[in-house]
Amino acid sequence: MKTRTRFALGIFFGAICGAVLAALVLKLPPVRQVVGDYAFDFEIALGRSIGGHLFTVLTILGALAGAAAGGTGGASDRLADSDVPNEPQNNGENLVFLHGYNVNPQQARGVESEMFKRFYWSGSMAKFYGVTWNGAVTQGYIPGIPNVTTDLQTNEVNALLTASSLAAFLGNLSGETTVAAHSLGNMVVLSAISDYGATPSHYFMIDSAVAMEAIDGTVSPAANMINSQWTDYTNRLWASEWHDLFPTNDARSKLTWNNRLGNLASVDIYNFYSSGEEVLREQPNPTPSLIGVAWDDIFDGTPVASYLWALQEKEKGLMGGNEVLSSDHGGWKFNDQWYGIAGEHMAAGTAALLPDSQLQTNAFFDVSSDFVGAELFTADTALYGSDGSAYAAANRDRILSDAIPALTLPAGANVLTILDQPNNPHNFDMTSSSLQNGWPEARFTGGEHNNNWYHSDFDYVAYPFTCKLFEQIVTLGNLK
Amino acid sequence: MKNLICLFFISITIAARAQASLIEHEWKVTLIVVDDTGQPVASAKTGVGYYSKSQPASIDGLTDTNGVFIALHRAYSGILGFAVEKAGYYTTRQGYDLGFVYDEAKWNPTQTIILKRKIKPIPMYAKHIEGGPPAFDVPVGYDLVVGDWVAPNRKGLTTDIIFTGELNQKAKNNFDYKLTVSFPKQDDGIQEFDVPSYYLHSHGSELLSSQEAPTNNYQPQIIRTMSRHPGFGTKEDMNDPNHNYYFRVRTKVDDSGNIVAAHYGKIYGDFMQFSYYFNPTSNDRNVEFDPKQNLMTNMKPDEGVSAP
Repeated sequence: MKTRTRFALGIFFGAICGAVLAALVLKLPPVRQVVGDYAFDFEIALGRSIGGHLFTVLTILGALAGAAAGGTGGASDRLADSDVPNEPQNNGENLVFLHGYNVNPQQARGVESEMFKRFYWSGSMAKFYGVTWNGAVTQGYIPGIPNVTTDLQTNEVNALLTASSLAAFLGNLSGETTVAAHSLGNMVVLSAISDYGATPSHYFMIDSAVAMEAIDGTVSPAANMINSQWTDYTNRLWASEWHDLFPTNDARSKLTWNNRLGNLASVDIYNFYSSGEEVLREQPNPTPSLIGVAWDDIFDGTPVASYLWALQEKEKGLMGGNEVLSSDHGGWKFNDQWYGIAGEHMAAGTAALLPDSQLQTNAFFDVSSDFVGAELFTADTALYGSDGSAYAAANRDRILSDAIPALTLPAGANVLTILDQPNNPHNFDMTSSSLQNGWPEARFTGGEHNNNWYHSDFDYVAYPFTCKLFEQIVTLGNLK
Repeated sequence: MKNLICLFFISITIAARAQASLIEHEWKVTLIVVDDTGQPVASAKTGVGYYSKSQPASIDGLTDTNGVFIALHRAYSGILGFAVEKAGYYTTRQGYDLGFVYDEAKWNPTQTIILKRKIKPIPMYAKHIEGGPPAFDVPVGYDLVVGDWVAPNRKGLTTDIIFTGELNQKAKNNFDYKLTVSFPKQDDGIQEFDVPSYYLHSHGSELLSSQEAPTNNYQPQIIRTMSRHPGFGTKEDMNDPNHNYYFRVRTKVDDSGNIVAAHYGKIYGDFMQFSYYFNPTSNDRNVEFDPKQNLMTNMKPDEGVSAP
């Protein structure tokens, strides 16, 4: 009986969320339109036989992505129509979806399946492609916590290494192509567009875990993105500004997030962000010292993974290693070995007098780690040498990821005005009545006591609550 | 070696935690709940939400006869959430950031929560709009009752608000745009009120506006601009989530200039991403929308409005 009910509800919401449910919703209470719980989901086959493949899959792992971005365990590619005999009739267009960070190949299959269903229920008749990429390196690194990926930086590099394969794949598709990506998956897509000339017709960023300045170099730094130990020091001394000390023909001048992914050509890009984000939330200064403040004081007292994106930027250089949260070199680490005085950082006023020529070969931030043995990291001192430019060119994305802090907030929690066109908004706040169809009751009974759209709610919260997001994308992308 | 580093890191945090745990601080929140006239609201259902081991929890209860509710706990929580609701009032929600470092004043806050009264929710024409007029450089009317533009191939019949979008565009990302929002009648007008949107910030009353639109101080037009030029980024004063508006349209005056008929309404959001609410009853300044009684029909899913 329960299964039958679920099936019936699935058909009901899946088929008519757009047309009829909206009318019904207007007759329900304004905020708590509880038509299910967010643990509730639909296990239905939409009238097609179970057992065959429902959508196409591109797995960019292993050799396809290059050894550095490789991984194992993904589903085999299913790219031909004959590989997906159960795919419903399609309109000849393509919808390509990329998952985010902390999603292993097995989990990717789950997310892709869910997205396929949600877009289909929302009226998409495009061929659906789920793209699996290697964004979960260090998942399970901490014993006893199997589903947490602790090292964002390595997976950022993987995202950038994956982009060329994605661009090649998109270039070979026939018909109009729409791309949607979640979280760090957006770094793959943005790089495919900016670095490799991919030109999808429409691109939808969802909860994009990419600094705004990487997309729009004119976005102003956010005060709360500056590590509070450095606010008294002139920004000429910061790792984020070190690139400015070099001429444009020196690759060290490219060691900045500013405009790193800003070559967007004429691609029609939409930003579905959430002002209620927890993972991409602005972390009010002071910046916590992870030595002075306990890990669980930060993370156990907030929604799971709150502030994580901001903290990994603000803690660059300050960690005890490179596998958890952030890095132990570059970033906001003072170069006290050279500039410290009696165990103290050089005073801000004195540091401001350091000449550019000296900072070029010995930065005020420390490019090395302090640790000994195998964990001692000194490779980036090559930036100071005669081959510094070549070293920067060869290691640009890795250095950006683990040693150069972004100073702007992430696009997935903020308006990216460069995308808007006159009379044609391209930024949509998902924490809003126009994209939330009510919200799970549990969110109103504890914790923040509100309807914040959290980082993975596009997937975790049941379709009846989130259907407007998918319908909006289907409409804007002309996917029907 | 990775495990060693990991153990090292964990040991640091555990050690720091152990040190921090030697002094276990309590937070204590005092909420004073009043209505929009300043009167204490007794027996309001009040919740102070917190996190313990990342799990949401809440201390719930009723305000006393003075409208006061006190919650305290030793569970570490960087973020608190307050929710107050009572029949006959609009729910108010509010966040509070305790921060990661103990601060006696910050951890013992007294907050005043205003519950707006539900006076008389009414049926209205309410619709959400994304995007501007169908043509640039010409005035285009919008019919608030029909919910469409007054333009060829559109359904609007009566111009309530005029939108004029003037665009000087050299390339996709090289343009100047000016949007003028004006009205067909001399005594029609608009006035701004700035309230952070409930939905945008999950703070404040679920009724963003007052229960009634103001009687005067309506402006004949407002102008919003947006420009983008290579190397200079985007400059705009549009789409500000804090901007909301009241409006007066279909205004008629007698020979002495006194208003004898007018329709009032409100706009949540800024141009051109907003929801509008139009009161169909002439001379009634009530803008308290009953979401169960939207007079607008045949809307697309993304045009629906659920906020009061």
